[in-house]
Amino acid sequence: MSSGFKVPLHILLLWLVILQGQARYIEKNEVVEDTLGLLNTELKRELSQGYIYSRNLKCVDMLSVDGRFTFSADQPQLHCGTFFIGNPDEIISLEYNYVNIDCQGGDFLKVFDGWILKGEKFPSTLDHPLPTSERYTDFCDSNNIRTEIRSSQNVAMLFFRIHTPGNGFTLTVKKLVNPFPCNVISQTPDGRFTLVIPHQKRNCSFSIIYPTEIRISELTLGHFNDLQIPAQSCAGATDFVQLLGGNRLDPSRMYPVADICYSFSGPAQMKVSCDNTVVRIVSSGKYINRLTFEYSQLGRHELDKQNENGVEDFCYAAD
Amino acid sequence: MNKLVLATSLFVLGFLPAKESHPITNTHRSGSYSSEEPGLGLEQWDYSPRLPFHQNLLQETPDDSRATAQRQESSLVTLGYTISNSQTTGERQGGEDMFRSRRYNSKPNSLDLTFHLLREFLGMAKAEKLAQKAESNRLIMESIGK
Repeated sequence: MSSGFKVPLHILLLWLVILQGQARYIEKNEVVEDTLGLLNTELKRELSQGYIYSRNLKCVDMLSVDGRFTFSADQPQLHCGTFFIGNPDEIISLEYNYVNIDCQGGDFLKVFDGWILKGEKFPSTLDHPLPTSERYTDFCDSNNIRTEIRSSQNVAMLFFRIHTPGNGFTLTVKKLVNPFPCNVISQTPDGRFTLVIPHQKRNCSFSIIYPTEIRISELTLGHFNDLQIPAQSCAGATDFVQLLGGNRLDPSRMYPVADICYSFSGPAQMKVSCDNTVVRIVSSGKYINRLTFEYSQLGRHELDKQNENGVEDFCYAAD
Repeated sequence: MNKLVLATSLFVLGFLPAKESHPITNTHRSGSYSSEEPGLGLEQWDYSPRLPFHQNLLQETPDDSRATAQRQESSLVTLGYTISNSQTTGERQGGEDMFRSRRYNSKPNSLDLTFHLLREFLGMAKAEKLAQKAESNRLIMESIGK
């Protein structure tokens, strides 16, 4: 075979191999954080549909899991309630699957958007977007029939009264993502959180129902190009952060421990030896406000020590 | 020479069928998954709080412990209204209006739990969540292993 013919022949053979061979995608290896990411779509769907966590509710109960929950009265239950709580970046979705109560006979089934404890509400009326009357969803109210109810924050409550044994209800609890959490009750005494209020005129409270040490690592109030001069007082400030302490659930009834109305970075810590510690940010809506803080529970020995901040320890002293 | 190469390329492209390329995937999965298997599907979680709930509420004295217990249990939920049943049909419409009016004008329902009890409930809810997550992971790993 002449050399002049070999080259085109080789090229021809090369093209034949290329066009008849198997191509491969460039596989992108990703670290799968989700356990279910290892499974194919069909199996994931079967898993999620086939397994629904369920149990019976007690008269007074607290739920932080998704699932289907049933309450059936074995005797007249006149004073019952269920607390729902999710992660800070979640809201609660409740859906009635089955309800058998006697509304005319005095039974009721009410969902409250938030928590109420001893008549005090979280979020407070100053921090919640709805008036108190609209925060209740009464199943027995024929004008307001809703099978699915969503909370505005990571906590909600259900109050119910059932007179007749055998009556009850079943509901499904789900958590939905809240991209900009505002009012939060922490499930844990320790943690770290960033509150972002992007051009919204609203007040947001982060509640920790433990004696707590708060460490604020970063605070941005107002436009970042503004010259931030520490003010002598926060009177007249439209955007500021409050640190509150008290033995109550309602932030509007708690004692102000500190006010901060200028941006800073770097840890600023405060110990609050009250049953409830709240970090509250008041936002005018003109700016993007951002607050990052860590919190940890105060131990008993720390409660006994003198307060290092020089602020009178009103909560612990009151005990 | 160049013309020959070009002609050869055009010949090959024009007359040979192009075949689609596919990623190499493992489309065969052995085993099957059923939600009817034992341990899956609706499952009752046997959950009994160890919280001495009523004992925390009570300040018992030997003399009036029972009366105190009944009083404290009834004060656990504060209601701002009472509901009375309408017995006659003539009163039923007026009773419904009064019933609805009482609901809207009533004080909010509330539970009189202390913070200590609330924290106990939070701890139990957290334990339940961890246990449920562990069970869910166990089922997933069992499915993967099949």
